[in-house]
Amino acid sequence: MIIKYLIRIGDGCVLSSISSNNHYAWHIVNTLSNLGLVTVRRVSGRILILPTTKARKVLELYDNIVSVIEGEIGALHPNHTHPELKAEDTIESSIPAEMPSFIKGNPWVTVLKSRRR
Amino acid sequence: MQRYILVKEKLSMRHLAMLYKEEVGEELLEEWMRAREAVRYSFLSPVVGEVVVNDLRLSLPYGLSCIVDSYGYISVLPEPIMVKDCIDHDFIRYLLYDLPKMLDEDRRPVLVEGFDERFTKNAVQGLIYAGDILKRVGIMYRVPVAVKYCINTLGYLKWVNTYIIVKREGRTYLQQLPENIYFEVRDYE
Repeated sequence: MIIKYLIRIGDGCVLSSISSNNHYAWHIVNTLSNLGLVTVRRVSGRILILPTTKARKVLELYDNIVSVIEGEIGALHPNHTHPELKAEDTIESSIPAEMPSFIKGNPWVTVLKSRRR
Repeated sequence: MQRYILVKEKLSMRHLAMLYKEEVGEELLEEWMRAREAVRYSFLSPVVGEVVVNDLRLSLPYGLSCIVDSYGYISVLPEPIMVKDCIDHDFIRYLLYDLPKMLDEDRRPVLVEGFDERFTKNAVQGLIYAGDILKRVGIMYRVPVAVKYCINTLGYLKWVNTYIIVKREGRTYLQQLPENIYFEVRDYE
């Protein structure tokens, strides 16, 4: 959650950008401030939330962790890419040309050429 | 425009393409391949039906669905094609030849009553094969195919949806699977 709000604050933002609920926004700011991650400034009637150097280091570490994890996933699944657009489904994908194995040998299978009424 | 292939009788491309290679036989293999190619990318717009229980209406999508209703609550709209009351080979022939011909003329939901009483011998194999034919009919003609069934123990048949009437503590419910949602059915005396 801390990371989520640090990303939201970025290089600095107004209080309302953190949450439209003023009470909740102050709760977040106070929590981050107690951890030494943000400072609060009032500039011409507006409340600005600015990240500290510590916050920037935390975000840098977070970016590194993310890139390591992505690299690991890439190594495990070399074909892990965005799914490509598939061609339109065809009849073959729903009704195979050949009889499925669970019907083969079924005594009720009727052959068209032997149809007799 | 409906295109037909003349074999021993007039069959639509869609009808012929619905059959497996083994069902067609060597004699008609070439026509069958032509039919498969012709309908390969040709999908009809789906017909959506409704499962109706008193004032409750649930959509019945195209494909094979199962209805478990020993109380006679459930009906299907729009008025479905009722599968003829026949058994054994007559039932299989009806599903393979007569039903697709009816759908060529008029695409409507299909309702099969007493599905589990249609075979006097080799019943399990019969139900598996009949279920597979109905599934293909539903997919190829894009119509809902509802099967009224008492038990559902055949793992081979994959239902799109299952609708079950459940009585519990004096109340009636319509259970829909695989979502597993219960709808209370109001009884009108």
